[in-house]
Amino acid sequence: MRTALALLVAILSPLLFPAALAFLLVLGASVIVPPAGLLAGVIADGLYHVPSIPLPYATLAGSAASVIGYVVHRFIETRIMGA
Amino acid sequence: MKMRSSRNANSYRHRNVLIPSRGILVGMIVGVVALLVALLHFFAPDALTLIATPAWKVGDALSSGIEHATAPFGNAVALARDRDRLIAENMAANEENRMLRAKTTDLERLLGGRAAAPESILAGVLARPPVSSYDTLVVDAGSSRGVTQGAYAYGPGGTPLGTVDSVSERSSRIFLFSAGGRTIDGWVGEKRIPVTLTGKGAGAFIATMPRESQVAVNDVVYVPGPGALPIGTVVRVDADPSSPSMALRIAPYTNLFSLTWVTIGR
Repeated sequence: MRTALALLVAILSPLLFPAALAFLLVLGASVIVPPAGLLAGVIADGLYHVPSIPLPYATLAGSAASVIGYVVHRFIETRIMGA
Repeated sequence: MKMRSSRNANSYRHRNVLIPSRGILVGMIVGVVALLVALLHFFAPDALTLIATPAWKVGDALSSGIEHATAPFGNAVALARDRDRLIAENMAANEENRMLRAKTTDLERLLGGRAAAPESILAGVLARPPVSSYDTLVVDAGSSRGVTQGAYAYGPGGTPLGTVDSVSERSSRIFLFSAGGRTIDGWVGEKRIPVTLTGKGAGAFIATMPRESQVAVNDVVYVPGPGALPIGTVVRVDADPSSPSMALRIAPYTNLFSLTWVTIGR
């Protein structure tokens, strides 16, 4: 359930919310499902990227969110298992 | 007994390398979806726009609903601020009207008659800042309606907004002049002093000029189009006494956040 919700947030955030808010939501979703950040970034680039912009910044930001989410996810998992 | 068998099944699941774990499975699904989106972006951008359109419409409806729902909670201070803003906008509109009248008179004198309006394509805006990152507009007109790459897009009143950067059959993406870091040459003030405008996002610009330039707050900023087209006004001049230059903060005429229609030049 949480996984599905996180993926839904990752898919809909780039379509419904301002970029900064979408990034925060996706960051939260990435803690639950780390690849969600990458997915949201690819969707944002797929929809809004234009050839004049040299790099797919949304995908890069999404990847960063995924990495942060993965680290936090592992940390929480370790804490829960350790407790 | 049942618990033990389910535990056995789980441990079997973890031991069997041929059955991927739940995390890997989710990762694989996400990867496939991401790949699909990337492929659609390159080979069928219209399909992606078509899929996203209902969500964009829901987003628009939600934004306007929230705006209406919170309107009664506005206090007197906010209303007074709104009134002041409207007065300022009215003044700007009057000023613009005066300029346009002068421009029309000049053109009529030059052409010997009424200048015909250039043909343009009306397009509905599907996505706009701040939702669309990169300061781009996604519009519902594409090559099938005659939109070409590099064509100018105009907002209400003919204010230039940007250029068409990518076109597919039924949609196109407009790269706004105000996109962060994008530069465009223009003029400022009645004397049309040349200036290079740098986009700051969401319609705003910044420009640097020598301190001795006679530019003041409320001066109109123009960009080249058919003639000089007003794009915004100088709202702040930051002049440091120790610096030979000053920075102009420019606010746009068009509120990009509530833009619903644009026209695209042919």
